[in-house]
Amino acid sequence: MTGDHLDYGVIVGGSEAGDIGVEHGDILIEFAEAILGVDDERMEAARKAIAEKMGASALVDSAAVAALFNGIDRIADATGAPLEQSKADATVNLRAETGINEFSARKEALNAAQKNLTAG
Amino acid sequence: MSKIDYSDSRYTIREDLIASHRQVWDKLSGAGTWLTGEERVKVMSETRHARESATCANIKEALSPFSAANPRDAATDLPETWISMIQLIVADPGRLTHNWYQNTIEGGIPETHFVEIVSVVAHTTAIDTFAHGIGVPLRPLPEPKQGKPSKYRPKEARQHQAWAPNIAWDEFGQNEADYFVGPESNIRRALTLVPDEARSFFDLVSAQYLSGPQMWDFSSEFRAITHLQIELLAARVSALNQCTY
Repeated sequence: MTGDHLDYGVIVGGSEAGDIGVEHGDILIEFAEAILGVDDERMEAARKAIAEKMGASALVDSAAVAALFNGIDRIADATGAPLEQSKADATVNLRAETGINEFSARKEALNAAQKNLTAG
Repeated sequence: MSKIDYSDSRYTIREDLIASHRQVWDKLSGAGTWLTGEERVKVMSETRHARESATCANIKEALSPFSAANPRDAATDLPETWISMIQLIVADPGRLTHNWYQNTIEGGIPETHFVEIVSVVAHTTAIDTFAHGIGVPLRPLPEPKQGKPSKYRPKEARQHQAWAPNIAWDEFGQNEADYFVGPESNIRRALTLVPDEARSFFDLVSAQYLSGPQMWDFSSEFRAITHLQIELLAARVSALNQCTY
């Protein structure tokens, strides 16, 4: 996802952040949000939108990808897998622009607070 | 044996995806490298219980997630340290810290068992979320199978930058030569302290996402959605999980 025409704000800001510039990006973002949520009506509407506009196979593949990343994120976060330097270098602007760096900052603050608690 | 089946789905599921899920269910129900089949199925059960429990909401809302884990809110008789670990990985992975990892290990969960538990949680999450996505009930958990864990620890696994020990991309031994192919990837290294778990999860990656070569082949599309659409979904899910990888 390195196209200059893409609005990366949608990745962190979600569907309310605008149009990312990917075909059917709006319904895919909505699907990603719905699949991690607990609102059954929202999930069904998101499912139908993809099935009707992109086809049933696209729905199945969208569910597979979103679900896979819901699992793999837990592997990365629980084992402390670091981002490769080459990827970090290549995504400096993207990470700043989207606000992803704030996740790391919050995590570091939490880690420091835990350490202080243990030391105290 | 409970066999994964999607005949109740309104949508046709790819055969390779069904086969992959069946393989995962079969492997999760048997003895792993450090956990028995019974323990692995209990970890699957706790993964589901944690997702639905009040503790999950409490962890997400708490200023510090670690203080909100509640090992008494359990579905099985797994050790309390395991229950807390599973609850936190399920409820709030984006706020897990190095200090949490160290405390978990010091609390009595060996690194090897830690990695295998993470793997079982991740496999279960990926398959359960898929069911949610296509609109079918969660698939029944498999029946645990008898057998003894192999207790294989690759001698090449050691501490690197990641919290959990793993095998460096250029240090693998003969037993893992099949796995370390393609460009270096820290996420592919993450579970390599328990190589069979790494293999199993990345087989699932190939079925639900793309295989390694497919990821980098932008001249062709391999799914009903494009590379760009796939990466958009992946990026939004990871952002919602506050994953920084």
